[in-house]
Amino acid sequence: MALWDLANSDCIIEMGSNLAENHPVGFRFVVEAQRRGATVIHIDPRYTRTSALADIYAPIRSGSDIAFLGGMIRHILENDLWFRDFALAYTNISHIIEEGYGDPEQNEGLFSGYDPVAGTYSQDTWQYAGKTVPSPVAEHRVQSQENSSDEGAAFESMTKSPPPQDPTLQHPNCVYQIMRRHYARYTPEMVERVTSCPKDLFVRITEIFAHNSGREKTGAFTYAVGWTHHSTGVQIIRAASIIQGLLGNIGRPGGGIMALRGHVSIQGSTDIPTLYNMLPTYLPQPNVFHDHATVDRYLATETPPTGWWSNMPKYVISLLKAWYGEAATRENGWGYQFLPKLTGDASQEPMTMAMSDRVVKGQFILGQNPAVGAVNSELVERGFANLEWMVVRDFAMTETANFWQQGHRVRKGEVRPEEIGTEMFFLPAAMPGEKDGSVTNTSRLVQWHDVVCEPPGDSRSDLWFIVHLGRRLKELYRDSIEPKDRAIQALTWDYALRGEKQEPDAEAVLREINGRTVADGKQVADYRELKDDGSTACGGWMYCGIFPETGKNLSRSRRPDGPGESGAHLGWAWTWPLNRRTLYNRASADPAGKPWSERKKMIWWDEAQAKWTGNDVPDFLADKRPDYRPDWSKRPHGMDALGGDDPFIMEADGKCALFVPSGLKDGPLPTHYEPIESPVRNPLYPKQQRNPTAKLWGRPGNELHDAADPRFPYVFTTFRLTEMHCGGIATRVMPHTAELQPEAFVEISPELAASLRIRHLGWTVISTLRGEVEVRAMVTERLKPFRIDGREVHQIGMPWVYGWQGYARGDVANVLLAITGDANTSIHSTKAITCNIRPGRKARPDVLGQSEART
Amino acid sequence: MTKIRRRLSERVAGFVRDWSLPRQMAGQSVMSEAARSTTSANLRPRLEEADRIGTSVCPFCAVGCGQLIYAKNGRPIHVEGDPRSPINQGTLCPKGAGTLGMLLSPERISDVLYRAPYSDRWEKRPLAWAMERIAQLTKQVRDETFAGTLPDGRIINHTLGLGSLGGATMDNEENYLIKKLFGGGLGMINIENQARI
Amino acid sequence: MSAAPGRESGHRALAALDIVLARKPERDDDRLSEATAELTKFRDAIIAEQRGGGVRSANDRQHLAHLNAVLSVVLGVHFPLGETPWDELQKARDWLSDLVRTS
Repeated sequence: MALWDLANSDCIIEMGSNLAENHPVGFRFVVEAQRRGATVIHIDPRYTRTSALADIYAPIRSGSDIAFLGGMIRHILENDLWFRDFALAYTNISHIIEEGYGDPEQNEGLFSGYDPVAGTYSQDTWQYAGKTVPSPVAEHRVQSQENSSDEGAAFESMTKSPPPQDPTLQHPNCVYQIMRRHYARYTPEMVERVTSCPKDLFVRITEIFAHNSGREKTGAFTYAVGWTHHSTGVQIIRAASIIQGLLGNIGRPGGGIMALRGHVSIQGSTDIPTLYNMLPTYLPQPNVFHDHATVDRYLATETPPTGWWSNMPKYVISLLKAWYGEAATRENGWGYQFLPKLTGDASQEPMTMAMSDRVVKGQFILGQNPAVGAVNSELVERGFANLEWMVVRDFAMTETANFWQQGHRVRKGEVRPEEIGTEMFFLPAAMPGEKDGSVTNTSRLVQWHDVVCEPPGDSRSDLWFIVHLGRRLKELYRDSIEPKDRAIQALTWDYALRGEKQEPDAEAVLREINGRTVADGKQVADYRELKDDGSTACGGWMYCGIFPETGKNLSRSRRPDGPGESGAHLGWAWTWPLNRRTLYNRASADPAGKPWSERKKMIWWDEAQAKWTGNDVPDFLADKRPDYRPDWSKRPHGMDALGGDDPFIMEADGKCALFVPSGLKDGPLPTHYEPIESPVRNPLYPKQQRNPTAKLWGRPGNELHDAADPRFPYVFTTFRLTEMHCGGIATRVMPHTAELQPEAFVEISPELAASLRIRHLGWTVISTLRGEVEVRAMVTERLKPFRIDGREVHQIGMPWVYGWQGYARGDVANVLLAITGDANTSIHSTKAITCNIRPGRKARPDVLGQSEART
Repeated sequence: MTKIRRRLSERVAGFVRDWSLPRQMAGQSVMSEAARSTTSANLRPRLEEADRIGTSVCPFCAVGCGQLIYAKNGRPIHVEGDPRSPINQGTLCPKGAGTLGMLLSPERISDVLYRAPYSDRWEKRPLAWAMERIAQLTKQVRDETFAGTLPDGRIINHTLGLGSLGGATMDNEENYLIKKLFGGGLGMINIENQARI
Repeated sequence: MSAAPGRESGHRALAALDIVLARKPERDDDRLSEATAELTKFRDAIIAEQRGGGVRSANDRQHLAHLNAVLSVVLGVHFPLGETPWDELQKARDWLSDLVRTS
């Protein structure tokens, strides 16, 4: 959904997100919804300005979200509050799951298929009966080793018949009955016991949200890293999507789940990824341990036969043509072997450990500050010290760039700069306004920004850096005859340079991302024109259409809707795919193609014109009739296998997956596990404390706290501040934001302060097995003790945005955190760990003679 | 003495003339006419000096507020919310409103800094020298740490000896070329950004 | 190349891998870190010799490339995507054994 579409919601639940403080301008649309009569609910461990402006605030303990959301699912199902016409038609609620499926309710907290030695699941028993379902998420497909068997062929089962269903919902293994059993114990009483939210308040919230959903109304969730930074992060979001699927809040005006992401183009850098496991726009990076030996095997294994992803070969081959040009030929498999193949997880946490073990010798750090932003700061710094060299590109000195001079280990006297061998380069970076290019916001909106002024001195754009580094490397490898150097020789790198500084033309790069025909270099206007025969080159198929013809960069478009227009603002910049503002908007109409209600119309089937039309660009085949049905006698593939009433076109069966048969490593349904570190035992599954598939690395310096360890009795969470942006140095060197938030602090409740004799503004030391920090206390009633499973649990919180550089300073909160990973994304846990806190100062003084915080 | 007295009387007259209260009492609006004074008549908007205006996007969170950047002689003089943007309609949060302070921060570094192994200090170096040294080091590490195949001949074509971190603060075009050069050209596997943070 | 530099590290890495393969730990095992650290020492010793002007025959280069591949497999087992590829680690271990023997 577009950000501004939040204004069309009738009820908004903000959870895992402090929207008012961290995305203040996005919060405008919540306020607007409220002004139009919506109920706004904030569910969060801390009472913040988001809570203050909500109609209802509910406190819950960090890390108990699935207990709350699972309770909502149960309450909605048991009280028949769901939008039956929507969910029966558009979700897999009636699908029948394999007979061998076993639920955590029968099995002490584990799903069927668990291998206790490997710590992983086999997904065989989670499938639709008689089918093997490909995951729509490429990165999840590639992460499942089952693909090494002949999975590609097994997916063909999807072309033989529709998945087995029981529309009466009586079959004991249909998704509806499985969910009822799975969530049976998530009663309001249990919700209160696990989360500490009073049960009446929980029921009230659930009923308000459900009553504000249906034909005439829609509700939305907003979340941020308060949901993702857990060992169950993906499953928390999944729990919300089950609620939205049941209530019909997907693909409709004011309905959805709004991810509030933290960096200007974090969405763009996910789509066109600087990530290890994906090629541009969600194509899987090949893996040597899978059936990926040739491009044909890779495509056969990874291409789902049904649904939109059946087009994958066109996108892969067009990408290879964009990257390797004439060197990509049919004979050499379009240059597929130039691509590096994975052997394992190379995400940031394993990369940090590989640095520490000296695997990595040279490291580029481009506009990121891991010495502050990454968990377990001291381990991160040890990794830096083991590098041969590091290149940091930023606009002001960062803690990462001067770790060798002022890092934690230097301050503690463990090591002197003269003992650190890392060769360091600091290259000054140009900032927005000093370079042009496009950025993608949290709702897929791609906006261009102009060059207005000159970057000072030797500051250059990152585009300049990478283009010129590439030119130098191509020159160094020009005469090589080694096979390993063919990829860099073949790489197309002919970017026009302009002016005295030889700045590359950013629009030329966007044109390459958009794609063109190989023969005559004409821009491709639509990804449906991409081919798998080498005749088109396209750097990112989902962005195809952003530059449909020469001179027409749609990300520069700046025409907002005026009064009386639909408010979709289709003329303001450009949204992937093909300027569709709401994904799966086919669901905004009923199965027959009519809007569910006049009030909530978005697109609809126009019988006279025989096409879909409306206020948004249809996220569907424009001329596909609502009454189209696949002819199963013909073994339909691609979009032919999806009906005219199957809106979820990226899914292999076109249905919203309440139950996920493939792709999730930790189960087909969200289940409450305690955080990796928790002061309490899991009240729901006493024998399964943590997510059994969470990634844990208990190496020296990264020790974890056991459940209910009396040495670390408090829940600790980290958060951001309105005036401070992430670990980035940007706002700490900006004079007025630094003045507004000059120093780190810890927020604690008056109850805890009294019991520990901590006074407001007094010094405290917070400790974990990873390290300790020293900050002043902010004693505030915004935090209240929780009552979990009958006993009192205190939670404290600290902003993670500080370091020793800039005007605003303070101890680095990430010193306290451990490296851990969610099973699906490898994301770390920062929102719920355990710690101890005491009044006073650190025992050991800083050898640099300066405290990080002002004294 | 006369001179001083005259100056004083002029000042009193000027004060009376500029004094807003009588005019407000006479019915003038405090929002317009009654707010005028000799000083305000001479005020000029700082934006008037701009010789260039461009459309930008706030560089902080992913909401994507539109900004207008005003520059004079290649230097920014003002940043404000773009009133046309349906996202922010001219508004900005404290971070976005501080963008000019970031661009012009006294803490900003505009030289290439180099720290030799085991040295205790930064030194300034020419940009071209640093670029060549970085290219040479990249090639060296790549050549030394490259793995072409596994024991049984399966192709992996990658290096674990090089890593890259960052991207979420940068443009799509920059991300695209980083992945293209580092992944598609050099065979780097360790490429990550803030998406997991 | 006569007795390769860092060969002792190669032996220690091999010993660590043998322990890992014998017990196939459910979770992260210090021995995998140890194997990685020893392999990088082995690798870096060869690299240091090359940088110092040591012999750089095609054979030596291939030796180093194979060692790099062993390291890639060990990391793939330490940080697996999905199931742990134990059979791949066994193959890498045997390869390392050859490398250490012929060094």
